[in-house]
Amino acid sequence: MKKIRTLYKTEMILAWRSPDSVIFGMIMPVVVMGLTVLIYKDHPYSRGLLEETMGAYLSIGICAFGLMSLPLVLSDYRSRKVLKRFQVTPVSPGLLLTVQVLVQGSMALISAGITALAAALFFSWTFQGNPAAFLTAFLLVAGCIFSIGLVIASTAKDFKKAGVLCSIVYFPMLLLSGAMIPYSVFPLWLQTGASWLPLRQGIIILNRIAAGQQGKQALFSPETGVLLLIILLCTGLSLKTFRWDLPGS
Amino acid sequence: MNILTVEHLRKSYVRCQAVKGVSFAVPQGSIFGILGPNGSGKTTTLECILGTKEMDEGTVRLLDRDPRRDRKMLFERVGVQFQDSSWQNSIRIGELCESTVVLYTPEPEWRGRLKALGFDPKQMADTLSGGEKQKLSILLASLHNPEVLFLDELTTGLDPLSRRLVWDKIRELRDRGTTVILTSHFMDEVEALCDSCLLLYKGKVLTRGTPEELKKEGGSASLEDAYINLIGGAA
Repeated sequence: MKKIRTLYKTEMILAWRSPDSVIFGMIMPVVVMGLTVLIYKDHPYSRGLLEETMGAYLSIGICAFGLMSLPLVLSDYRSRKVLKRFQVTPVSPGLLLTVQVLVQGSMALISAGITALAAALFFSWTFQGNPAAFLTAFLLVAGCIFSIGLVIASTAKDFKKAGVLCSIVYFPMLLLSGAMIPYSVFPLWLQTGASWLPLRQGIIILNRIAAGQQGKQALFSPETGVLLLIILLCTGLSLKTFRWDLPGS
Repeated sequence: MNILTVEHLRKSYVRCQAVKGVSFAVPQGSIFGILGPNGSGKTTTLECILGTKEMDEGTVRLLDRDPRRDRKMLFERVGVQFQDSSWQNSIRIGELCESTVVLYTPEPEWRGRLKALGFDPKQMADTLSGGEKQKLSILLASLHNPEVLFLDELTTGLDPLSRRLVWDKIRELRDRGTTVILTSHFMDEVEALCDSCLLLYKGKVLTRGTPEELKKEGGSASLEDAYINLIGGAA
C-alpha cells in the first residue's frame, strides 16, 4: 500500500507540474457546456438540456485524462527509458499501471467536480439523481475509457505512434458519443452508428441518473454489461501486452 | 562461489548477430569488467543477463536464479545503472529517491547518502549536469545495498575528480562484499578497479584475465596499448 501511496503522490505532483493536459481536461468540459447552453438558449430543445446532458460534459474530462494523458504519459515513460529503469527494480507492471490510472482518474474526478460546480453556479443546474448511483456510474465509465487508454499505452510502439492512436480513438469517441455535440441533433443513421461507441453506452447511463432515473434501474442495464466487458477485456489485454522497453531496441 | 554464470549466450537483432556464444563466470565479491570496442556486444550481453533483453540461446544464472522468471525477487538484491535510462520530467531529486526506495523491502535510507554526495533534494533532476546525473543514477542503483551491482559505462561524462570519487565508492562497495560488474571504455579505470575482465570483440570472447594478464598478452606495460594490440590482432 505504501508503494502505491508514495508513487501516487509523486506522479500526482508531476501531473500538476506539466499543466498542458491538466488545463485541457479541466477547462474543456466547462467550455463545451457553456457553448452548448449558449447555442440552444432560445431553442425548444433547451428545456431540461443540462439535466439530460450533464453526463456528456463530465465524460469529456474522462476522455481527456483516460484516452490522452494516461497513454501519453506511459508511452513517454517507455520512450525515455523511465520504464526500463523500473524494470530493474522489484516493481510490477500492474502496480505502475494502477498508479497511473489512480492519478489520471483523480484528475477526471476533479474535472467533473469543476464542471458540475460551474453548471450549478452559472446555469442554475440542480442535480436530481441519486449521488451514489451517479458516482458509481461515473467510475464505471471512467474504468471503461481508462482500460481502452491502457491498451493504447501497452501496444503503441513509441510516443509518436501513441499520439496518433490516441487521436484516432479520442476524437471520434468525443465527437460522436454526444459529449461535444448533443447526440439528439445527429441524423438517425449517425445515431445508430455512434450507439456502438463505448462512451455512448456510458453517457446513456450517466444522463439517465443525472436526469433523475432510479439508480438501480439505470445501473442494472445492458449498457453496464457492455462497459464491464470492455473493462475486463482491455485490462487483461493491456497487462498481457505490457512492454517495459521499445520493441526492437 | 560464482555469483553469475553465463553459458553460450547468443543474441541476434534483425540486422546483425550481436552476441555469438559468450560464456563466463563472475566470483562473489569481485569487480568484473566487460571490455570491448563500440558494437562488440557489451551492453547486449549485460541486458541479456539482466533479462531486459530476451536471449536467443544460452543460460544465465544470476544469484542462482533465472533473471526473467524471478525478476521481482532478484532485483531486491541486484542494482543496475543503465547507460541510457532516465527519469520522469520535472522531478525533484528527493522525489526521485523517495519513489525509488519505496520499491524495496526493507526501505533503505536515502537522505544521508544524498547529502553526503552534495545533492540538494529540492533540486530538479533535469537541471543536473551530465556528470552529476551519472553520479545520481549510480546512487539510485546502489541505495538498497545490492549484492550485485551492474554499471554500464559508469564514468562516461564525469570529470577526473568525480571519477575518482566514484572509483572510491565502488571499491568501498566491493570491500563490503558487493560484486560489481561494469563496462568501461577507460583502461585506466579498468586497471584501477577490476579484479578480472572479459574482452569482447564482434560478439565473441577475445580473451579474459586480470588487467596484469591482459597487459602481458597484449605485450605492453600499459593496459590501453595492450588493449589496442589485442583488438588490432583480432581485426
